[in-house]
Amino acid sequence: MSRIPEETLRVADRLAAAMAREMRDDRVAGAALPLALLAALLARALYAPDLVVLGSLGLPLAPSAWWPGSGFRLSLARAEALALRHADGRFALEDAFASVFRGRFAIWISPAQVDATGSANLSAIGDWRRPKVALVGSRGLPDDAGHIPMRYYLPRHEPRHLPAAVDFRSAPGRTPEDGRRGRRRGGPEVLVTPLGVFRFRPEGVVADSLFEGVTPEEVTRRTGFPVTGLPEAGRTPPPTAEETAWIRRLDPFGIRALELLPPREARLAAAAIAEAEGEGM
Amino acid sequence: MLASLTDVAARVREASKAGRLVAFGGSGLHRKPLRAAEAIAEAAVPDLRLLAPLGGPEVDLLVLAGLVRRVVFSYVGFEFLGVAPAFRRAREEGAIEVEEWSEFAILAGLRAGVLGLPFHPLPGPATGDLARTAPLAEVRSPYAPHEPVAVVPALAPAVAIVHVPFAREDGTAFVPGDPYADRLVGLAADELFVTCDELVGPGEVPGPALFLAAEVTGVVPAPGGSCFTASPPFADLDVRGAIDYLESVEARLARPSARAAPGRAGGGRGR
Repeated sequence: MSRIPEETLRVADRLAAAMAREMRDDRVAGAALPLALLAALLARALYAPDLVVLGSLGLPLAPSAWWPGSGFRLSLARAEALALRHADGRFALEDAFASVFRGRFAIWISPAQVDATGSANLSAIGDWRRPKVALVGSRGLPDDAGHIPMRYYLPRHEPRHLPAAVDFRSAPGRTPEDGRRGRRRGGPEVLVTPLGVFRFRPEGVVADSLFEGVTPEEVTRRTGFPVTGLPEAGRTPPPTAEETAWIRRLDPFGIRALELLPPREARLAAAAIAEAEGEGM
Repeated sequence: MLASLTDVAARVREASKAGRLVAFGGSGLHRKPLRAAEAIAEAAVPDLRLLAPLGGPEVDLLVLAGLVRRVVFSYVGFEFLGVAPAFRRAREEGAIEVEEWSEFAILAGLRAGVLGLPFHPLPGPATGDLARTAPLAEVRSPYAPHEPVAVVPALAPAVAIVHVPFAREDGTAFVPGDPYADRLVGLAADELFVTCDELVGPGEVPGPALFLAAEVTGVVPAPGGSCFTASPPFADLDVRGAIDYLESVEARLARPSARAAPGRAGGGRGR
């Protein structure tokens, strides 16, 4: 894994640990990207022993996935094949939504933009009809937003990812209409970035804790909206030895760091990881 | 019940002429019927209207070939490798029409398609800006008239194409892995074609069936038909192949004159 800088892995580790610690009360967890899946796997290992983790959205993992020597881990080339080896069954995509609509589903989402109200954008930068940058699409965000607490993580904490208002609301945040149209559950809950853990409150975005070495000034400088609670914010505990050991076991190839790398470097790293995975078999 | 990729392209051409949707199974970089998409590109079927619940390279290569008029989608991407480059460029240039639905809204529309209903309710009010980008509507519950219910119109593609690892000649299709939304995609369509890595005999049951013979219009034997996308147990995701595709498309998009040429997924590993 020579292509992934140690520092990048270290940031990925602290994101994964901070995300996993939020999942103590979760019932069913899914993921669209590797870092989010790692957080769910780590939570199941240490904080939520009854958590059902969907290794692929239709493949809930059996407890054996966490047993020593199971061979289960994050994978680029063999993600579905490894999940299948430990799957308790195979379910249609619709079934994952049954958990969403019953408020039992947990998922960490990494949008392109998150704003002060907790709205998130995964569709388009600029005007949706003629975007400056077209993104992958809102996918399940609009479905999730009305039913489950929304949890976001950003691999980079920069003003362009955290503007005062997102360009497109894939998932709406808190708005003045809240409550009037009978939203049953849901709404923005928490945001984890390389700078710290932030919570969405009716009064705005509040700093919960900041990672080692991060100053309140840095957060203010790198965020496109006001963040309150900075003076009182605690220190996010760094990954424990136990968390680190599980992270390395669940992701020996460093796949968790891909989302933190710039696109071109991420591709090089992904190709190198896939090659290393192939050799390791 | 055996069919060829030429048959599939011919049925897709009919769909296109009638202004109907063509839908693909799989998700992102998993079990994408890329060989079939290439055949459609090679047959140069114009004015395609694609339905991509969880789209990926199949949408991208048809957009690259300049054959797509409209895409109904909730996601088109390459998973951890990011955005689909030709689809992205076409959206940015306004070269294609798009309807962006949510993931479940598409499942609901397909469900209405399966059942022959005109529309399908969504659980909870429509949220966010999707109301502007998808044909959502609102009805009143006949049982609780004060309660507005968001609905989406039925999605009934003329043709659905799903890649599976195993199929029998009679049409029975087997997917030991994640079925994604494939059953809804397949059953909502007038005609369902499956491409398969391996044709199995009548005595074999290689895992649970995803489609019964009666549900399938035609089976196309296509070993390695998912190209660089994964099709367990036959194919891992070919990460290098996916990156090669992205780089070749990006190189082509950088040359302004050479846009509309038949897309090829390449990377078909012989097995």
